[in-house]
Amino acid sequence: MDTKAIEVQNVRYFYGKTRAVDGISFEVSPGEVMGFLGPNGAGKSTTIKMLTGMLQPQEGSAWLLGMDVMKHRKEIQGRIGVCFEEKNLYLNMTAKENLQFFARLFGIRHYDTGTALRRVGLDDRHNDRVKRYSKGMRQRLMVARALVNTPDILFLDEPTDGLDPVSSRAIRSIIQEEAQRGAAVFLTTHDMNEADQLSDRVAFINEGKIVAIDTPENLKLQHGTRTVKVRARQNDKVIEKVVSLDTGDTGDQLKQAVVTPGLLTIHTEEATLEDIFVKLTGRGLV
Amino acid sequence: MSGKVSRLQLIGTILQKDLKLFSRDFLFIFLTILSLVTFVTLYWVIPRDVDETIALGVRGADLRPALKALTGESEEGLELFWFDDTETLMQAVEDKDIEIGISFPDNFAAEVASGREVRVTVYVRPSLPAEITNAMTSMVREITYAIAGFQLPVSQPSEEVIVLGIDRAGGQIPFGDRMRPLYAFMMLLMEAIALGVLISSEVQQRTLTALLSTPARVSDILTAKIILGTGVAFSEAMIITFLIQGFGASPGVVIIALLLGAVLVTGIAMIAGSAGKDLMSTMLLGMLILIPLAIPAFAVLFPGTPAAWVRYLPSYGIIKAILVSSIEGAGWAESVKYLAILAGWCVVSAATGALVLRRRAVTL
Repeated sequence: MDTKAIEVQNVRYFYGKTRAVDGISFEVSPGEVMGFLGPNGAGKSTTIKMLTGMLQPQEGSAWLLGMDVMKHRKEIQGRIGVCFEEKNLYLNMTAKENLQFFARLFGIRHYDTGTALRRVGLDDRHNDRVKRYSKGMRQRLMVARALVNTPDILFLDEPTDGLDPVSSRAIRSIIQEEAQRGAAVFLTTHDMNEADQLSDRVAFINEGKIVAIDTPENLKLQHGTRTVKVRARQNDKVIEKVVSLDTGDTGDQLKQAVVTPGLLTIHTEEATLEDIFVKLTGRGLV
Repeated sequence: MSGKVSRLQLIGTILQKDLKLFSRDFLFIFLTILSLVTFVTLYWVIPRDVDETIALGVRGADLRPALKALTGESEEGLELFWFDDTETLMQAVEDKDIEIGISFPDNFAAEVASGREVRVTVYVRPSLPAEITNAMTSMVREITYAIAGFQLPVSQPSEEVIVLGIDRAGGQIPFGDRMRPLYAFMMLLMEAIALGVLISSEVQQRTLTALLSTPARVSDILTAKIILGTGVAFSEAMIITFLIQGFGASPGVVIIALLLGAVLVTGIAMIAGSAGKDLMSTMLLGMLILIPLAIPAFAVLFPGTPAAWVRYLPSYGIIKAILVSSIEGAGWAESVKYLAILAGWCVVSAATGALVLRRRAVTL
């Protein structure tokens, strides 16, 4: 039987009377990217805190790498990497010093900071104090820091939030490389395209409960509507017509669309993860 | 890829990092050096000798023998100046050439001897303590009695006052020396605020959360902070105490007092650092807690016994231990009670600081 990287069974956590996480269960396999999607206050951060041993679940069980999180906290924390949403770096230390410090906390005496910083494109600024870094550079350093111990599980909390396209692309590329290496990646993000591109599976969390969990493709198939959008110019006006691909007369409607006078474009359209989230929860992701 | 790491290694690694950040805080490096230079300069600039002599001006030349008889041949503690008229005497008091002036009327001795009432005027500076003014008016009364031929209805012993302990008559402690505990405590205070700010930035920037996602535990972080805070504050206090010659007759007592004082302020720094929202609020909170603790250091600057409530302040032990050892030349026997009280407060301070910081860390 293979050991799951993450196994969560019916975990609950309440802040006083406020329900933060309410009986969630899921598993993540090694090498799998799990997208954890939900609006602010849905319970994402509390879940990460419980999985990284910072909070103790009040009910249920959480196992990482075959070990109970609370019973083997220190051992587990030696094998996970966490990239927080806040850029919690030591600003008065250089990038190199930040990485060396965290490497030593993991018991790594001679860490190759050059390679690590080259991977995130910061090798030419390794001796600069972090306070002089831009937001994107700090985020890339955060990712590099989460990787110092070559983790078996990587927790990434909004890793590309507010970043420029170059930095975002660099971080996405690293996420894919880590998954290929065999690390399980637990990713929370607001960016639906990112979740769609990177995640093998996604879980929608709302008000502390998981409302759906599956591959992005399956979710779209199960909950979305496939359509074709036809745009044409008639009498100096652009008109749009939407043809559903899930009805009986789809073929006839498409034939008519192709011969529409003044035809401009024909596009197939799929539901986005955000559409599905809204459909399932009745609310947006922000 | 991570290797085995012991708690000692974790504490050592965090300590190194804290020391590095501490040494890069230019504001506090500057303030520390400035404080050291200022306190040491003040100590050496403030005069070392204590002038206990009172300059007394007298108008009334015919009273020389009577005054000599009253004050003694040595005139210890009194320097007499004779004036020919009242106006010059008043001017001398106003010009601060003398502290006190007594104007006896013409034919004072003859008038008194014949039993007539006479008026003697005493001129004093506004700043002269009331005790000295009273002593001078008593002296005038005694002179009058002596000239009138009356004996005081008491027989005076050769020594009026019996001093229990060290007699400081003629050997008063210079003001600068009395300030030694204050200088040492101010250095402790400076370092405590610097540590508070360091802890606050760890909390505010959430680096504490990052540390807790590694094999490091809250207790490792707390231990590193206590070692750093105590170490830095103790070192600074030792340097200034050395520079102001504050170790006195029992250096051991002073060293222990400074070490316990460093622990005391470290606990307070952890409270301020955990509760502060930013640099300014941490500094303000630190000052609010620490400045009242400097009251005992100010209280010992002036003669007399500090108010009872001052003795209950946590810092009273450190101030008193340094004072009795480095200034009054006392040893372990006299200092141990102050050190014991201080140690008790250290336990309270360090435990409260650790508790507050732990709570802050786990609720981030």
